[in-house]
Amino acid sequence: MAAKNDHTIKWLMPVSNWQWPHLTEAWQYRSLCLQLALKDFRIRYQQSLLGPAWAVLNPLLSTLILIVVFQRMAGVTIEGVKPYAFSFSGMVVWTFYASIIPEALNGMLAASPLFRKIYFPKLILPVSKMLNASIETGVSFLLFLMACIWWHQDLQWTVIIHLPLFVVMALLTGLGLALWASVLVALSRDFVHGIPHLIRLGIFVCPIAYPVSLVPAHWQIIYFLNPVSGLIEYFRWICFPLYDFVPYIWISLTVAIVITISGLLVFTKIEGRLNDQM
Amino acid sequence: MGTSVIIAENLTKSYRRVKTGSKKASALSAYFSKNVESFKALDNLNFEVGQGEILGLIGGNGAGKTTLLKLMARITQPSAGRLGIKGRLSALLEVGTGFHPDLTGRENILLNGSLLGMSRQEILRKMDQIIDFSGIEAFIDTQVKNYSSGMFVRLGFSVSAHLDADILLLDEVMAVGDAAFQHKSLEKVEALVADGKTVVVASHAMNALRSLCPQTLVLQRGSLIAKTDTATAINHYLDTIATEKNYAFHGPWSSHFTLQKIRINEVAIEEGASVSPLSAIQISLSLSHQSREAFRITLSLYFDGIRCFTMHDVPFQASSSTHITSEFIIPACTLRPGKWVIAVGGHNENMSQWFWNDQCAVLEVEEKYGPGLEKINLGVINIQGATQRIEHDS
Repeated sequence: MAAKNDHTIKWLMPVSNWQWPHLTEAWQYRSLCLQLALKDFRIRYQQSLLGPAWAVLNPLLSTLILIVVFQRMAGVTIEGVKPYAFSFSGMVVWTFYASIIPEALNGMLAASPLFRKIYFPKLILPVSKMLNASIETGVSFLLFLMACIWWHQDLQWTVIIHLPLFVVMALLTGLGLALWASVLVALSRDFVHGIPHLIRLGIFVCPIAYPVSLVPAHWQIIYFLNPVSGLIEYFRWICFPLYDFVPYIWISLTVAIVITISGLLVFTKIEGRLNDQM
Repeated sequence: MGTSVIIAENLTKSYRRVKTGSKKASALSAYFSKNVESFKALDNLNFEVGQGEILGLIGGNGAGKTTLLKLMARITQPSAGRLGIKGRLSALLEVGTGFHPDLTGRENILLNGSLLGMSRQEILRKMDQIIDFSGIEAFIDTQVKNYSSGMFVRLGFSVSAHLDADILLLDEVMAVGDAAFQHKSLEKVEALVADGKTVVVASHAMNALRSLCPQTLVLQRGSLIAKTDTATAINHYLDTIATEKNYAFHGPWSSHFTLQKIRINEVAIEEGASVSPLSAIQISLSLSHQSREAFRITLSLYFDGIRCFTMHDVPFQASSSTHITSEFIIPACTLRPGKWVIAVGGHNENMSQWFWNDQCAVLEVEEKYGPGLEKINLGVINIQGATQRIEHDS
């Protein structure tokens, strides 16, 4: 709730220096964040016969397609991991990023008429998109667990301990990427056309349907500069027993943190000018 | 000092605009381009608004009224100086902002309310009041896309008006919904005012400002001319129109027509536009044009922001010379004393093309009516209609 009984003067000034987003204020608008996410959820499945069942069908279908397409190509087996479970685990992580980035981008475009008419902390927008993308990813994670049981795939019980930390990292990375997508689209509409190609490329650049061992050793440092690659490997490491921990994951996690922090800073810097620019 | 709720200190807002003639560019290329210039929409404003004050805001087109309201509403940020706001602020600048057509009225109340900064609990608590006030209970669970435009604004206004704000910003006195709803809206605003809320109203309706606001702030081209009692402020505002000599038109045909000169009784208006109402007043407008279509020139006179009447010239043919003069004659003893704002425009025969400027110049009508007549002729214009007298024997 915006400061109702606040009797201090709030000074509005030109923003010149880099600064952190006003997190307490964003927190006051948490109800807006929830409403925006709910709105997107309602509208996405409206006027479709199957309705919210698509939240389950979407990840299911895209995984099926991927399994059918890729499993014939790579043909490399990994000890202790069933091929289907391997691809599916990659998909669970990948779909989160593949949906959050375009969502953030289009959300920014869709909300630009609002910027000219009403004030709200803009940080709410990418966060609400992240919440929304989390719903399908959560469903897809549950499907993954069920599929593993179906396929008699062994899972580490320690996944329960590791999962919360992984989720925090995955969400932060998602926020960082969503923030950067929002910033770029605010600067130029060229990115509306450019970014979807990057995402399409991502399916091949991330270790979704092939093991990292296929990537030449001297390329691996560069390969793991992509934070999503690291997160996929991290996810597999916490799920599957006997799965190797690739030390390069640390590179990915560091990049992810840099993206998130820089995303927050840059987003806050341009936030005040959005009204005049978009 | 302790009671000020809005404080502007050296408040400046400048915008970058792409120079005329160069291609429209994105934010990114504008950043690097040399084809942008900066102009000040607001220039070094200093003023304070006290707790419970009802402040009017007037100024010509492009004076910066909307920019100032937007700064207060935090929609845009100052470029220099600072603006202090104490308490929660509600801007009724555009109602129904952020409504989503595919959601129902009830869902939109939740969305719009949270957009305005209300918490979920607060909205749910006020839900019944909001629905009740909007008067569209029967349609509240219908998708907003099926609403009439009247229903849409009523719902939007209801949400905004139920925000517990300390400061209220209004752009133009509300023209929302039908007469009954307008009345209800005005009552709501008056109730908020009686509650000790601070109100800032931007308006052209000087009559409304006079009755509502003790104090008014006058802006001219981004500068603060005065913050004074409303009667004086209105005079200042009319002076700004008179001195500015801004003859530029807007509208689809604005580039085809240029107003060159306004003459009152054969005298250029700059040389004193004070006339006696006792004889006929001749207003002649010199224009140049590039129209290939027949057109008519119109003249309107405003008093206190109210468009009192409009006169149309006979059509000019497309073949007429590029320089034309339209003459309008206002009969003797028609205008009451005071400052009249001259508006000039024109249109083609089916009104699809038009141009317009509602603040061209000021015509001052002198106090020449006799002391006896002064009492009788109250109002804005005199009509010399015939009267009939019939006396009845009781």
